[in-house]
Amino acid sequence: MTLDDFLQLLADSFAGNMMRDIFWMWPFMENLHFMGLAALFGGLLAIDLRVIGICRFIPMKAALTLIPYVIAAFALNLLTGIMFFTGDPYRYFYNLAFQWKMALIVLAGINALWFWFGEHTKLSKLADGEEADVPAKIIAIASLALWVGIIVLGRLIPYLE
Amino acid sequence: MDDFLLSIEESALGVYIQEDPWGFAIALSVHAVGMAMALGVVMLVNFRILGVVKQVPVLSHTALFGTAWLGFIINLLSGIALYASHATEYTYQWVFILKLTLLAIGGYLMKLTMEAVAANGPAGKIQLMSFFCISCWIGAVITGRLMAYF
Repeated sequence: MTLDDFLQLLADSFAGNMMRDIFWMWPFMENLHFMGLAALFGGLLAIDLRVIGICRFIPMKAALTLIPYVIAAFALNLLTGIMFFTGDPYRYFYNLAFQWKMALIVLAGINALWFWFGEHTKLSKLADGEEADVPAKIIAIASLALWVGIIVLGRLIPYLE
Repeated sequence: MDDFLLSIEESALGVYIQEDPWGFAIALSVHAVGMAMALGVVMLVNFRILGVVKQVPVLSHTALFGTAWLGFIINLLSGIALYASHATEYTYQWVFILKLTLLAIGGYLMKLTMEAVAANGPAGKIQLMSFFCISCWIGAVITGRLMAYF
């Protein structure tokens, strides 16, 4: 099976047909995708700005409990994102903004793993108001920067074809 | 009225956003980032009040309100730029009018909700206000997105 065969398979799938044939499905998924993106970014702001030190008023332990909320928002956007992709696979796959967006999501994922395995235990022991160490701050800044880039590239998909 | 709207579209800003190949795309991208900042914080605090997330103390979220306001200002400016490029169109779009109305109500309800939290008001009343607040904000996103369809 070639790559184009695979893309065609997705386009012909039930999801792909649904995205193209039901007129309200595309805008419905777009709205869910926007809400997921805001929820994801809001949760990240609380965690990352606390780690960076701008929002040290937020208790660190409490901020870390928002991780499942962020993951749930990401899952919603992964799901709605897959729906867009099946609706028009050739357009997305060969789209420059989409390709860069996916690359940044992979980087954000690696950054999140680094946070989880490298910093999470240390951070959860921080007292209220106590400053995080430098590597944690670098991860937090990278996280916000990457997600701003992901949002911008997503919005640029229709303009970079 | 139409002369006035046309003069907005023909202003330097309106022409730039409309005619530069990147003008509209950049303004839209900036608008999406501002939305993530403002709506992200508003969602988080209302979800906390409504019990979707539970750990962060409600009043701690005020630490994030500076970021939310920054997002709002970014969207006010990028919104003005987007509006200037299509003033004759957007002014008569009912989803756009609805969006602005919902944002005004949603913003005011956010203020009232946080004031009630700070004053230790009745939980039921706070949750009801919070529910209407987040509904308005979500409605504003939906109507904003639908501007591309109506």
